[in-house]
Amino acid sequence: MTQALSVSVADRTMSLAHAIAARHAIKPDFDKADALVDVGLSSLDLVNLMVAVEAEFDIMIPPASLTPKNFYSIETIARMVESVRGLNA
Amino acid sequence: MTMQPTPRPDGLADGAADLLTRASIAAAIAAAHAEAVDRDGRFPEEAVAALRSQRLLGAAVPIAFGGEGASVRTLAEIAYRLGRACASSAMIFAMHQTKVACLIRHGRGEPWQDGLLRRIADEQLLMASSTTEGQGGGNVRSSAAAIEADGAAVTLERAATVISYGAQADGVVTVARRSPEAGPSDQVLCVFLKEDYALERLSGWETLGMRGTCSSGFRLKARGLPQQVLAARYGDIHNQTMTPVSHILWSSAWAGIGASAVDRAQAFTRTAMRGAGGVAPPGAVHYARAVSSLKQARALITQALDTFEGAEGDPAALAGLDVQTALTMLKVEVSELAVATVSSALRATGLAGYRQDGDFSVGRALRDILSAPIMIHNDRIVANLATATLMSPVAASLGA
Repeated sequence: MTQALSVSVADRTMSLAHAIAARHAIKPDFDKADALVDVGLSSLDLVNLMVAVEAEFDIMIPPASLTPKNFYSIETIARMVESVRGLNA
Repeated sequence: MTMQPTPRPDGLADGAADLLTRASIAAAIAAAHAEAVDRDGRFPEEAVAALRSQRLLGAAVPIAFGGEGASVRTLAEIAYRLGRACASSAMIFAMHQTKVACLIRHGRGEPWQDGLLRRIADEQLLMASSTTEGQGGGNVRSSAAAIEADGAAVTLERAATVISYGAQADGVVTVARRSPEAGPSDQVLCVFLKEDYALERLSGWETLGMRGTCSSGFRLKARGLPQQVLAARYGDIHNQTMTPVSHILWSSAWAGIGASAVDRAQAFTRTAMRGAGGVAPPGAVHYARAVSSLKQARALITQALDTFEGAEGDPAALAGLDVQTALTMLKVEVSELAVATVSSALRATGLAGYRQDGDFSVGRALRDILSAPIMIHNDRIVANLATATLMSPVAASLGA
């Protein structure tokens, strides 16, 4: 069950990231485990991704979770989202 | 909100006496009641009870007397955390610690004063401060009332325009003329405990903000032992401890109030962006301004702490014009930065912040912080500084 949820959260996060990446002239191609800073997303893109993630999953990411580690890749973001949702559940 | 550690049944945090963890626990309690304290203009008894149970009131008392010897830096950090939760609680803490600092630094070695420090640590006594009187306004260095000898005792009768939380304190630390013959600025600091005095309320405290400080006007009629008057000259206490510590702790509390407003402006901005596909709301630039003003305030406080620590215990260094100027102006500058921070936060949040109900309300923070420039009026301080610095050379370099 958790496996399926993880896929879904990661997938949704991936489409958010794709939408943001699409704004660039060159559309970056990346998958869930890639380091986001290496695929062509800027720091402003990451902030926009964070805001989009909060909207998509209706959460407020707590200050303690706003770490480079958590925003490293789509996978790490998905895990962080689940832990925040778990805290709020 | 970051997760708070679970308190043990006796109310103390797990692990060793981590003052800041305990401060966060007290702050959480203060936050829970801050709205009610403000609405009713009542004393924040829950917050103060938490300051007692977390043993924060006596934290600065030297270890030798049963305290934890907490530094002004630590006290400032605590005031900041409390300021984020409840402005009145933070200010009460700041005023109490300022008076305790005066007793520690200038009363130590006098047996009665040492005994009082032990009691403050042991019983977590709350000390109030009375420095202003009748017509003087914020001129702390001029007293009317005098200590009078009465056989083996001393008495003091003083009509004070404000004694913050005077009715709720366990004791009052006050300034008075040394004797009926002494000049207005020939002052001493004296301590009276609840059993020593009667308070007659002269005026209420129905104000825009800081409503929980209950800073009513009282006539104080006190009787005590001569040992309750500190031997030190108040002028020295004022320059070396009263001014630096009060300015640092008040500023820290104000910065905390600013931080609480920035919190809300940030939350609002992030929430508003969601519904707008990632587009920032019009007020977002003001949120950025608020972040910057808060950063500046914190930098000034940190610098002042460095300056004070560098000069601590060295009266000559503390009396130096550079140090005095920095510590005196800290209050002026941080009060104005804190007001700017909260004002920017209000602009950032628009109607959501203007409302009194709702998660993004900035009203209480604004009302509380507007007290800062007039709590000892900034103009008074700056005018004094103009005179004091007229004969000193303007800095020839960026460094010292």
